[in-house]
Amino acid sequence: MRQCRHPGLSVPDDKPVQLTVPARTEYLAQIAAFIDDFVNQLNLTDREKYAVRLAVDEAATNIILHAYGPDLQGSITVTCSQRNGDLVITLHDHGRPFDPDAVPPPDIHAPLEQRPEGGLGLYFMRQLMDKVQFEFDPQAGNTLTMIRHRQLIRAAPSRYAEDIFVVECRGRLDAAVAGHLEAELRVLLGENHSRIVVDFGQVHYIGSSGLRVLLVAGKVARAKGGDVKLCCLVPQVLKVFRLAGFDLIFDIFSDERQAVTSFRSGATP
Amino acid sequence: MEITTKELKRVHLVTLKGRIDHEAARELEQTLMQLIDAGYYRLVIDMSEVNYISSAGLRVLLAARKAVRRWNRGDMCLAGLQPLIRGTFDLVGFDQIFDIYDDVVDAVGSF
Repeated sequence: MRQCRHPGLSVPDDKPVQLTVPARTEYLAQIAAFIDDFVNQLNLTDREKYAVRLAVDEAATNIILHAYGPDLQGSITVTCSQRNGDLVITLHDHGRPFDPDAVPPPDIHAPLEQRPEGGLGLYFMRQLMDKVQFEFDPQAGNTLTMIRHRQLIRAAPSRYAEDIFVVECRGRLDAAVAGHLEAELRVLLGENHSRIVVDFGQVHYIGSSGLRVLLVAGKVARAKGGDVKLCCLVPQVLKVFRLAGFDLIFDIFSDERQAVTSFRSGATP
Repeated sequence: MEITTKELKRVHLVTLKGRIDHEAARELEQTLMQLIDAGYYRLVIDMSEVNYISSAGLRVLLAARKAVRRWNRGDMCLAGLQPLIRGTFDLVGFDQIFDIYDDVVDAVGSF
C-alpha cells in the first residue's frame, strides 16, 4: 500500500499512540481526551470524529462495567493508529471474557414502553465502526479491535512518480466531504504540488459541491503549470461527470498509472 | 456536564450543557428522578448545548420518559438537538420514541 510521506499531512502509519488507565469510570474522561487528541490530528469529518469518540467510549464503558465489574480491578490500554488510511483502535483488558454474539441487538423499532434500556453500547460500536472484533485469551487478556474506513484519504505521492500526488477519495463525495477534499487540495497546491491525480475508485456518489471543488482546483493547478487528472471512476460517477461536461475539462483515465504517466508523456485518455 | 432546572408555568425546564458520558448520565438520572419523585411529570429537556451523549445518557432519557408517562400523568420532550446528537438518536430509533423540537419555545408550547 501507499505510504504517506507528505510531511505535516498525516499521522504516519507506523506510529501508534497508546494510553493505559485504571479500569474505573472516572477515567472515561481521560480516555475521551486521548481519543480527541488522536482524531483532531487527522483531517476527519465531524461525523467521523464523533463516530470514533462514541464507539471507543461505549467500548471502554462496557469493559469497566462488565468485563471488570465491581469485583475485579485492572487496567485498560487503548491504542490508536492509522493503517493504510483506516483508523485502527484496540482496547486491551484483563477482565472477564464475554460472548458478543449472546448480546441481542436492541429492537430499535419497538414502541417506547417496550423499548429495552440495555444493549445500545455494543450496537453503537457495530453501527459506527466498519469492523468490530473481539479476541479472548486467558493469558494475554481480551483485545477488542475496531476499524473505521476513512471517507476521504489524504494525499500521498504516487507509487509511480514521487513528484505527483494522488488524492484517494472514498464513499459519498457530498457537501460535507467536499469541504475536506477542498482542504486537502488547497494544502497540496499551496505547497506547489500542482500535478495531482484524484483517484475516484472508492467513490460511488459525487454531488455538485464535489464537482465545484475539482473545477477550482483544476484552474489553480493549471495556472501553476500543473493539472488535476482523474482516474478509476465507477460508471455512475463517470455518468455524472459526462452530464456536467466535466469529461471535456478534465483528463479522465482508467487507472492511476496511466494518469501519472500522462503528466510526462502528454498522453490523453 | 452542567445541569440547571427551572420551574416554568406549565413545565419544568431541564437545561443540559456539555458532555453526557456514563458519569454525567448518573448525575442526570438523579436530577430527573428527584423531579419525578417530587411530582413534576411535565419535563422539557433543552439539549441545545449538549455536544456528546453516549448510550448511558440515552438510557436515562428513555427511563425518564417512561416514568413521567406512567398512568398518563405527564410527558417529557426534547429540544434543540445538535446534528451529530440527532444522528445518534436516529441510529437507534430514538427519533421515533421521543418528541423532538427545534427549540425550547416550541417544546414548552407543546404542553
